[in-house]
Amino acid sequence: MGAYSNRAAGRDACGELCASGQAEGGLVRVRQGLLWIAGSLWWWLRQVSGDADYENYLRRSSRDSCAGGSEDRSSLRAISAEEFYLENLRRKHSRINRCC
Amino acid sequence: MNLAKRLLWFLVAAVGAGGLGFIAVARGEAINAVWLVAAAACVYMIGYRFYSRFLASRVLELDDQRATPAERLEDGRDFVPTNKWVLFGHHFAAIAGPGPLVGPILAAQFGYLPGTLWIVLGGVLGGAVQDFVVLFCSVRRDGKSLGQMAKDEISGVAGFAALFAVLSIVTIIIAVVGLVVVNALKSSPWGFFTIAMTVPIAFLMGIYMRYIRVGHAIEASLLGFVLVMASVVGGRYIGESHALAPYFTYSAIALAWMIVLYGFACSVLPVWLLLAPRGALSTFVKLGTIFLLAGGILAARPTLLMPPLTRFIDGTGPIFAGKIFPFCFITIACGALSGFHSLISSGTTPKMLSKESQARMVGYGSMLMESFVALMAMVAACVLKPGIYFAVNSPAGVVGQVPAQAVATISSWGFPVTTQEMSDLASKVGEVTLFNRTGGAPSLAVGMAHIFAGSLGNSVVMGIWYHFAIMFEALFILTILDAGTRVGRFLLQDLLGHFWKPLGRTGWYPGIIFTSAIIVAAWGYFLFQGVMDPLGGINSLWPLFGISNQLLAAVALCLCTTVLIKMEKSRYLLVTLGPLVWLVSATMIASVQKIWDPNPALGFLAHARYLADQLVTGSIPASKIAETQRLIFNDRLDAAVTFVFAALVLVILIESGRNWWLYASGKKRVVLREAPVELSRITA
Repeated sequence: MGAYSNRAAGRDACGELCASGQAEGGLVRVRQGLLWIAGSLWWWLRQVSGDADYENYLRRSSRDSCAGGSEDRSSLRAISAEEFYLENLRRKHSRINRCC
Repeated sequence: MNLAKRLLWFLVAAVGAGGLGFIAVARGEAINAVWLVAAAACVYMIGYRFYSRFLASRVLELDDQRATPAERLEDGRDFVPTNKWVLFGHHFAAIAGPGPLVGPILAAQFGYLPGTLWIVLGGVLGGAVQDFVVLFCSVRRDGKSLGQMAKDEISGVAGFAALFAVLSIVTIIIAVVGLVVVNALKSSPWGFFTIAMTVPIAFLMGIYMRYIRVGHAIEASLLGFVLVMASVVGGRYIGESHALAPYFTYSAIALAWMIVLYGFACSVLPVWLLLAPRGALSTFVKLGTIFLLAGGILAARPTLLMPPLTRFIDGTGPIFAGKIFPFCFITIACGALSGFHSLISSGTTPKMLSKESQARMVGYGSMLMESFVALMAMVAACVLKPGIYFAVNSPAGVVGQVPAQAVATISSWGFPVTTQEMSDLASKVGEVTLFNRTGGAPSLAVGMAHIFAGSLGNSVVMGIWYHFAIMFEALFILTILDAGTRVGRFLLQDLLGHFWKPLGRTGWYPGIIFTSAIIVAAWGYFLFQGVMDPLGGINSLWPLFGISNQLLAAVALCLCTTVLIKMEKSRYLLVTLGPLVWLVSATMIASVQKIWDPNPALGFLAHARYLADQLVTGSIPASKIAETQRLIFNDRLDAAVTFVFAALVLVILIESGRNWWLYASGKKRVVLREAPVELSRITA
């Protein structure tokens, strides 16, 4: 779950920032809160738009290979960004993915 | 729940009930659109907080300890555990199509009240329940599709009905939305230029995402958006230029041909070149415009000029014929309950859900958002002066060919409008005329422009807003048209591959071209039928779409009910049986009326007989005989198609009812075909 670990790291970082922000005062806390919101929105937008798909795929591939992976998972060799993009589009547009 | 929360929810309930009560009983006084929005928002909150929670905990008993298919079968491609907010975005972008925008606009001919009530209550008690329960069923069955689940849980007949319904809906919906685009762009050089420019812009975006910055959809969409906005602004100069405007001015027939060619090109061209970039751009523009419209309504706080109920509840409406029941519900379709959503809920989404409990937010919550979009479309239609609304949406065959005749007819109904008002409005939005622009898109665009200009600018920029709205709708619609044609091609290839293997190969070009041509010819036929229809086409095609969409919803709700019986949840059957009974009543009555009603404006066969009688009596000029014969054939074809849809609804219902009876009487063993239970390792 690359997306999950990414997000969890973001949350930890935010926790630290928020903690230091408390010491520095309210204004800094507000600024950091806004930055966190903007960062979360940007993260969400990248995930929904598909911008982060290849990064997620690479993260998942490396996690599976590190973990040893089962037979079927280890058979997923990391493909290039271009191959991944085309394969992703082919799968996405060969089934109903839009509604009326 | 502590006292403060109880009080808060009591307040929400009171505002919702008060708001709905106020808009329901108010007569003869101006109602602000904010009332509608506030009442709806409160009902959605109550529905989500209490009803969906009841469904999740008592009826479906969602279990986060149980691994979802995304976790058990994770392959990094189809099955991927996904953050719930991301999945919500994916799911909402997939279900939000042009249906909830166009349907409410057309249904506004009955007044704002019936449509609003159905959008809000139908969404909370019907549509959202269907989406949620189907998503749950699919998650418990390894992400199986609606057709597969109907086959496994009900019978092979139900599975076949689902497949047939999907193909029919794809065909009919593409024709209908194509017709909406044709009617929005005919004789409109500004509109045509803007939409035409989206094709080369999509090519550019496709090349950018394929070769320059692989897969960077946000950058490409921003680039595309800037260029599309430049086209919207630049289109004004095309429209006003005597030298250039003729090159961008086309009749409805010419536009229909272009749309047919576009659909064919999308089906055979590589997906990265046209389909994918258009899809990305459309998603961004769609989500952005929906939020913009919500903000615009809150900022402008427009007054609803349409009465709560109009005289057309008696079935004599100019936009489409038929009484408030069942046609208000058939017409709104996706804005309250859409069978097509069940395909998305049993498609990609169940394969990405990381926890069962998230089905509530993704399935139920997304449909509430969709319902809210439909409500905003209703507001956009009802802030227009009713006379203008009817002048834009009524076909020439009903109100008359010339403006003076049209305004006289519409004013005689009690909705005063003048030719001067119409020509002023047309000139403000940069159009030659706004008379007889059937299909809903132009009136939605005028309504949106009115709201945007009232909150963000003034009437000087109304033309820009109008064409921005037209661009938004057309982009939306053409995305359905291109994606639908391609999916239809895959479905057909899958089917024909059983008869001759090469036709089933999705990479074999002769097969691609052959099957694409068949699909395009199927929807193209209905599109041309609509374009040539003197009553505007929407009168016959939109109900056909509504009926086929509700047929799919009947399959979905029969499946949901069967699964609940098998789960020994019969005491909660009303949650799916209630919407099913309502849906089947509306669909069957609408089907019977569309086929056999003696009024030629409503019944297909009566209209065919009326035309045939005119042929016999010689009242049709010789030059129109061939066209009339074609209209007669089309009426009979539409009647046959409606009959098949209605018959399928009955077959599914009888098949399901038989199974329910056998389960209840213990004559058939209950077999719930859920995937094996495995404990989840994902921590929420």
